[in-house]
Amino acid sequence: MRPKNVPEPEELSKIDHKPPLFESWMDKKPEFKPGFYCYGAKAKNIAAVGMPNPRDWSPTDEDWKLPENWKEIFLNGMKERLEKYRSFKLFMDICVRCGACADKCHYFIGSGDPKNMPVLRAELLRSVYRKYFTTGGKLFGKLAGARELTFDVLKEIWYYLYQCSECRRCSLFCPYGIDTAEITILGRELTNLLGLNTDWIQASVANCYRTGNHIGLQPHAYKDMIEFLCDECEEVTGIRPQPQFNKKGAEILFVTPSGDVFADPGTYTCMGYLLLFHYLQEEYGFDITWSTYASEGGNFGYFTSHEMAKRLHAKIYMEAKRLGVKWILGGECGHMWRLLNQYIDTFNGPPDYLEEPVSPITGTKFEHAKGHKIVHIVEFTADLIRHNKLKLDPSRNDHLVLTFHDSCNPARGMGFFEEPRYVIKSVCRNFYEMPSNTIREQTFCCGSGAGLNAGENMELRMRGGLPRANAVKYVHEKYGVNMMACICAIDRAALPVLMQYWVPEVDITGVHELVGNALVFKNEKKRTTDLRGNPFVGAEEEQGDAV
Amino acid sequence: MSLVEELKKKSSKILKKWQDSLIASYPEDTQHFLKKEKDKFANPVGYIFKNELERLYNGFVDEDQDKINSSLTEIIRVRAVQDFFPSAAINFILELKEIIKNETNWESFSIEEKEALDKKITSLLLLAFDIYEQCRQKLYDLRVHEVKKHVMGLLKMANLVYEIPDPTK
Repeated sequence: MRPKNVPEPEELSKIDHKPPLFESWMDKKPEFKPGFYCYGAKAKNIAAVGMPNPRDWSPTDEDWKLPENWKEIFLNGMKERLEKYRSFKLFMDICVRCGACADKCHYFIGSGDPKNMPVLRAELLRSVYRKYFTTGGKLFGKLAGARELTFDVLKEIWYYLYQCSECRRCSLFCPYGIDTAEITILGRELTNLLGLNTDWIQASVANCYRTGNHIGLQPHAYKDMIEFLCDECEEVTGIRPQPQFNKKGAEILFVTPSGDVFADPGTYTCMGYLLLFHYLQEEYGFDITWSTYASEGGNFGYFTSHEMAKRLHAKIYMEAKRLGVKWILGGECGHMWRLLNQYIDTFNGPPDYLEEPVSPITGTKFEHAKGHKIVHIVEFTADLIRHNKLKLDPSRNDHLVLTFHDSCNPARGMGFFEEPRYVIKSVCRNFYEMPSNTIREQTFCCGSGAGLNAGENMELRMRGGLPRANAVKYVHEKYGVNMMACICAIDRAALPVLMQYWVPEVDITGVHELVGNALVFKNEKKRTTDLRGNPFVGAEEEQGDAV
Repeated sequence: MSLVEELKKKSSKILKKWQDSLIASYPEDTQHFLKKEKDKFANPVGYIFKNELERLYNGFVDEDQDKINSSLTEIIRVRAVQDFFPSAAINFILELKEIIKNETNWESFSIEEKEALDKKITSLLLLAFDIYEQCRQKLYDLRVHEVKKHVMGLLKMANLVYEIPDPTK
């Protein structure tokens, strides 16, 4: 029902969007609209990890139940971070508001809301910085782009910080190299000093801290689920993988996002891992173990604070040490990857008790992983294929016409472009790229990253994902693409829904699902379907002939 | 000249006004971007509005229902996930009536022609309402489906439920 004070449609559509004289974006109060924000973090999930101000709250409440000295906490937190992170201070100071980033954010492109322009989103925080930390701002206030930190300002900062997926596409276009994602990351840290996170993030953090993974799967259930996926592998291929769990003295520890273990279509990717490991075990005596304790590669702590990210990922290394493995292999994940590569050496110190990763099959040294000792499975598999160590039948993926979505963190964050494409082209024969300004370092976010893949913010996810979906639609119409591959678990969870809204003809797969389809085992049964049970090209006619 | 003939003759002018009025429903900073950026991948919303509104107008004048349905769906699918009340999301249909009145020799047309146009625009508005509703319904379905999929998957894998096998498979 229309609220009482809402104008008639004609009036609404004729609103003059020009701000009145002397009234700027600063004066507009934030308005929380359903579909664009996530539910507030529950007290129990904040308390579970000892973070400040545990209480149940909702973003639409009049009273956010903040501590009395909330302003002091926020500003002290800002001061501490300005001193600690030179980049933060620099990013607060040097923006000249040239607008190069303005139209590069997928949330702005999809929503048309100017406060989703990266420059303006950062300006929400920057205006507070000016007021309290610069002489100009203290003296000239609004004229110098400074403003008081009021409760309304805090609400506005919160609303828009949790509408940024930290994909850093904007930073690619900034002539100064300002990383707006880092501003969001630190801004979110400040909100967490007041107990202001979303429950989608905070519950995952609490679960991961307590049980080892975001969903709270206990060790026995985690093992049962992987066994279930082994059953599924057997049904399709006649081969039952024999995964090892918590094996002390194994050569390699495998850690993947828990989404791969329980949520379609990630589960098919997981079947791909299981089949690959089994193949390598049979052919080359590969010795890899899963852990039911370090059962999460993802890290929602990263969307909370640096400290929380450090606490959660430490368990992977502690488990590697406990088991006495040489190095760690990581599943197809996005933010996990950037964290491990770019933060972990600083967070937890280099894990000297592990060895520089060397593929036991090809002898390849993964020199880039010398510090953190963890290799992405797509790098590992690309190396195997390069050395001709896998027997592959790419025709088994002929029913698929593929494109590849570069996940923001591995692609833009790390320059991880070629390996996934090399693997895909080795196991599939129909591959088409999306337009160049939507892939590789310019890739568009799925619209659900950085802990925004909840259900209650579906409108935000759909409009944020529009630029990505629009490019998919193009290759679907032009080349008949019906499947998009990706190497990130959040992508695998978020993109199927995005596709169903914008391009329902296209589905989502992980790269190792495609590897699992193409992998030829010596003693496999006659395979007629892919890992999802969809018939191979030609298999249906053969079955028809037999009848 | 009949009303339909004039709608065809003045199509580019009417269409331009209609596109401007649709884009005017966004804040000023955004309007500039939606109009200026021509790359269809950098500015999908602007591109969809420009092209699909043209198809919609042509479909409307030529009474091509397929064209009307598909173009209206493309536009409203975008509007349904943006910051609009439902009425504001589809109000651009009503704007067309005003634009036609202002851009044609409105007084010269017969009452029958005017009534026919009025009826056509009303039908278009009702269709827009249906499409908007379908888009919103789709969003709710996606939310429910996402939750159900997760829960069912977990129950099945944990051996807590037994699914009746399909004898045909």
